[in-house]
Amino acid sequence: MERIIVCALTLVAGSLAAEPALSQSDREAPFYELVTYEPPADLKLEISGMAMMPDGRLAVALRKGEIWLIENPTDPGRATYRQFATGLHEPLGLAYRQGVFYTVQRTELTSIRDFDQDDVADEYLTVAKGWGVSGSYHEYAYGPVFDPAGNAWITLNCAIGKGPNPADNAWRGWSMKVSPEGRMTPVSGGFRSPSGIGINLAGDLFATDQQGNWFPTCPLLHVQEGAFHGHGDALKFCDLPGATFKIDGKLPENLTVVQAAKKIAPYKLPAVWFPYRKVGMSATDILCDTTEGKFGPFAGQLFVGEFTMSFVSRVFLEKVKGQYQGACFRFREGLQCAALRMAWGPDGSMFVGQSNRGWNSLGTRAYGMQRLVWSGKTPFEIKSMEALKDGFRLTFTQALDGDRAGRPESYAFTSYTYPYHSKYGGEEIDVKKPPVKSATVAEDGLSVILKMGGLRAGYVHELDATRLLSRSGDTLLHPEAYYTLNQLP
Amino acid sequence: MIRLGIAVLFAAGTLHGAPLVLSVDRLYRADPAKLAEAGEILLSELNCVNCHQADTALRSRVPAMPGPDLQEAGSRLRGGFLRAWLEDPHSNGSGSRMPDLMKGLPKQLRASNAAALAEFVESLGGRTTDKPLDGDVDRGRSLYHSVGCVACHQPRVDFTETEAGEKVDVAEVRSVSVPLDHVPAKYSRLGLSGFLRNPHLVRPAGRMPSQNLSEQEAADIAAYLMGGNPVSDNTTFPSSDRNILKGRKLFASIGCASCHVVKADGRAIASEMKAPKLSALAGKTGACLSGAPAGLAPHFALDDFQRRALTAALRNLGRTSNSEPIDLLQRRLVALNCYACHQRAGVGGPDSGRLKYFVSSGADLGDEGRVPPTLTGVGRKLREDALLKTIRGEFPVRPYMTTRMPSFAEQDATFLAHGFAVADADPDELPTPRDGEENQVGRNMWGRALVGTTGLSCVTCHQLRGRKSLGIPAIDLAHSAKRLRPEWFRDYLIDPAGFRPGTRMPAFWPEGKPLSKGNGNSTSRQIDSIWVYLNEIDQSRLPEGMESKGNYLLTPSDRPLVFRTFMEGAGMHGIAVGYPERVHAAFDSKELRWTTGWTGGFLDAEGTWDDRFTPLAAPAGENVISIQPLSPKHDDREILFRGYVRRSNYTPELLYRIGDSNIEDQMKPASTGMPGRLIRSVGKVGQSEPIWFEVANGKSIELKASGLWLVDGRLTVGFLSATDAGSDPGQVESRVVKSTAGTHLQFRMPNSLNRSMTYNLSVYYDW
Repeated sequence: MERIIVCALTLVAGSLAAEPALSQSDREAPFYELVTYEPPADLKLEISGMAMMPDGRLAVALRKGEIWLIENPTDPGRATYRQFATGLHEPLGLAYRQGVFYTVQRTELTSIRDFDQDDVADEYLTVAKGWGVSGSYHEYAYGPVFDPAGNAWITLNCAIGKGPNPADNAWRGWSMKVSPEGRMTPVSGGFRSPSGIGINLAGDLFATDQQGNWFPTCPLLHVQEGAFHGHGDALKFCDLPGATFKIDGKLPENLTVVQAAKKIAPYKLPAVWFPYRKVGMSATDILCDTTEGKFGPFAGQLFVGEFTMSFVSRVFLEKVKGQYQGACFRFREGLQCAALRMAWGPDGSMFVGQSNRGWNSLGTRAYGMQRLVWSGKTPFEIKSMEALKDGFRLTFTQALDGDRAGRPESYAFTSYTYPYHSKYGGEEIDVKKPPVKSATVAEDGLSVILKMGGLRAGYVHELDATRLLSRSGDTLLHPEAYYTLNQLP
Repeated sequence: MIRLGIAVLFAAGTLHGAPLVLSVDRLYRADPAKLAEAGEILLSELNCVNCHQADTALRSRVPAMPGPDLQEAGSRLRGGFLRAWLEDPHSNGSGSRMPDLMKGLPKQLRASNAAALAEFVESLGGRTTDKPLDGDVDRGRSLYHSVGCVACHQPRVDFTETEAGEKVDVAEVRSVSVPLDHVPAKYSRLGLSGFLRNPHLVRPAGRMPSQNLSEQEAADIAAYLMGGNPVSDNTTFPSSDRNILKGRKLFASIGCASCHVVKADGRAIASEMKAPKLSALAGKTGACLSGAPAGLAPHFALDDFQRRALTAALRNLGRTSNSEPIDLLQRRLVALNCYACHQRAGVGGPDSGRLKYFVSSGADLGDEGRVPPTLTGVGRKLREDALLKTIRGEFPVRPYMTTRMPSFAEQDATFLAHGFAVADADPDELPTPRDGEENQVGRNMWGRALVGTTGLSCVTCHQLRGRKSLGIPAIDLAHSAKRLRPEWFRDYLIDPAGFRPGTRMPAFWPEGKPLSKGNGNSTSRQIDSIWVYLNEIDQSRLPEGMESKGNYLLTPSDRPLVFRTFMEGAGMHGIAVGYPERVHAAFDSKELRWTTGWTGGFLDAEGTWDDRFTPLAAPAGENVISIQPLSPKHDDREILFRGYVRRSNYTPELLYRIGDSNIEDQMKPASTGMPGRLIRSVGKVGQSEPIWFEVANGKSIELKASGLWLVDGRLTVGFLSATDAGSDPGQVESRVVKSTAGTHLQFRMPNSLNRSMTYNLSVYYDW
């Protein structure tokens, strides 16, 4: 039952010159082209995991429980699709290490191997299991992502709604680490629906989560031992052996997340909040730019998938007082479907695996694959935003028009935080507009130091820099930046 | 400004028996600027104009309501309660708004008057002998805490966790609720369930709305509130014509008749209560408003805040008009406590303690699935006729919400429906495309395409005409045309979050531009096409994605299929194995047991592949048999599932450990000429402790012949071979052991002679 099918491709380029007003997607297209794959009609390419293989093939996990190998993945005209593994229970991640695939199914971390080199999996071994599975439909399990020491990291969705076995629910809403010897230990707790795991250049682990109960909007969370990320359901398991934190009494509610972080010792604020709708409604995968410039000017930064609004966003992180914090930006929109998984191609292009089953997304398709290819042209963007004691340093991808950039009124800031409560979602609250006192442009025109008043620790500082121009007179491709200022340096 | 809910500062009003008007306490008590406004609501809620005359304008500003209907009170209420109540209506802490009309009388006189009044009231209604339905206390508890009663009333201490599994803080919510502790003493069972079924009959003022309970549901809640199904109270009280007549006179003279309409000799009894005109009360603080009214002045047990509020309102009556439709609407929303469940313009909505009682029936809709919708702009959103039906409780559209929209009294429904329509009308509203020029052929088809999966895929989340959505069960779009105003529908689709902050509904026309080309191309045509399609849905084809979901039956053709899913019998760690021979089996990789065998069709994957709610998969064939329905007895050894290997024949070989033994376990259809339907081959690899390996379990196991057992009268288990016994069953050790759950059939697997050897055991199953 070999299935090798050659497919056609479509190129969606931003060349709709006849349109009078360009859409944002059209404005982004000259810098990052969106290449769309046309899988065979009978292949429901609901991609839930992606792993590049050393031989240049791309392996994809599908939500219905299969793994497929795509040959010539960067050449859509010659791409072929071959079924490798079947019968898995909703794998929501895929990794490839030393000839073995790893995926997390609903109930276990599984390694999958092909003994006889016929490209059909022969061995499905259970590497680790033991977290509770009550049968609630929302008990997704995500991963794995391997760290440099060879540990596999897994995140577990909390149970939303009752399953047939409600008592069997241990460790829901926690992250787990499986050592190379197969020993599984809990790491952190308090997740709601942590559908994306990623690792940065320093080897630190991050996860995204979903706006909902306890999460006023989607966060980027630094997964570290003993951290409580905010969702109250996880506390049920603090008494189990191995739990890495404990919280006495009831969680306080109806205070700001900043106040909550002071009251609840293990509660660690997200490294970044993605303000609702502004930078997405449902964050997914995390992909660190390891392309060393092949994908453009953002080497070392994180890209984050967005489900409902079908785009990819970008995150700049820095460490302040030992903790990660940073800014998020919109990056590339107009995908055909929810961005669920991302992976680098050998040429430094970004594969985006898609599926919106169960939850609608913008776009025209329910599943599929696209690829973002850097055209070599550098967009005019805010490359990084660093916190200073009394302001921010902005670095740009192109030199600035010094006249506008040197005027404080070219920068408009809004700062706000969020409520901490078990209610669903939460609005931006305690909104203020901190003033910019001065703007000093560096000699090379590539950065600006803003001196500000009214910075508030813990708050999101939203920048609107619409008025800035590059030396060649362009406006910023994405003039908004959202810095989560957990700590003042 | 941080605004995290509304600060609630309560005087301990109920402790002193002060009349309870919940929304006034919640929304006004802590805000000195709203003192007069609060007072106007109290003027109305305490029925002041029933005694203090007022002109028509004033009466519409602070309307009064009829008091409870007393015609059947004699059968509804218990005699003992009625007497104690009339003697001192504030003593039971129920927060009643009925004033004590005999506060100034000596104790003995109060008692004899109360008895006379009670006898008069009891003389009005015949004691019915109808037998009440028996209620179920547990069902009543669940209903009471989920359909909406606790939006106003106290949750009870025996309810600690909601259907959603959330712990509730009862004390926090009880302190700001209408108490019901007096209910068992007050009502007969029939009286209470009848009242719950149709509260407007007894209380035409409509402050207690109907929760649209069935007769059984009302009986269940009544049983719960009364602590069971008590037999009727046979206590009799003396009654004499003389006393009844005395009661009737008191009823008129002390002022009961001002609020309660009671007919005697075909005419309503007129109240003899004399009181100054309402407009003459500005600046007055005596009588009703004094802390301890003298003589026969009504005593409302007002607390200090209420007295100050009423005083401020009386002073304001002559000064400000404060009777615009929008003011009247706001006051009625407070009086009816709509704010307990709904938010409007940033005010109200369930507070955090109460919020937990609003649950959803297992659907993943977030707060939109459990918390009643905002009323901000509702008059622009809904057609007035739909509003009217909704407020009457006749138009439930959110079946996933366990809290029911109550039925309010007709006078309130009419008032509110019209009030919303007037208050929320937007004079700058753009018209929708009219039928004429935009009524192009094909609009319906564009709409169908946009709603379906090849368009904007609305049906991924939304139900349509009672059909399940492909994902979450968001509101049925077929309701739209019957409820929504088309102008609102258009504006909402362009900016959902502008109307429902926090909604997960995406914007498909961001900044008013269509994301998807075709099907009308422009935003206004696309939305209008969807509107037309939804209006014509009853005569239209269902959209793409809903029409047919395709065939998901898995059929093994040339090799066995492995399929992991949540499964009946095999549980959450189920591994189903299907064979081309059309005999199949399922393994539970948590407990390490083959749970089920069956023949014919293998498995329908639709639930696993396409249903967000992951229902348990079930065998798609027939002759379903349980092989190991119980947890196997592993003699307290640790067990560990290790996975499976599919070798050349693709039949999975399951690998696991029992204690220090490595087990390989394979199930295969029997080939022609072999006994049974399924053959199970088990290997114990290398040297390890001997174990008793379990091959079947059930309620009963009978030995039928050497090496042949019958489990639960249906499943035959036959020994085939073992390493050191060959096929001679006399040579293999077997045993049948009992556990608390049932009976288990086990074979001994001894230690192998050397490390490279595997001890093999083979059995067959037939049914």
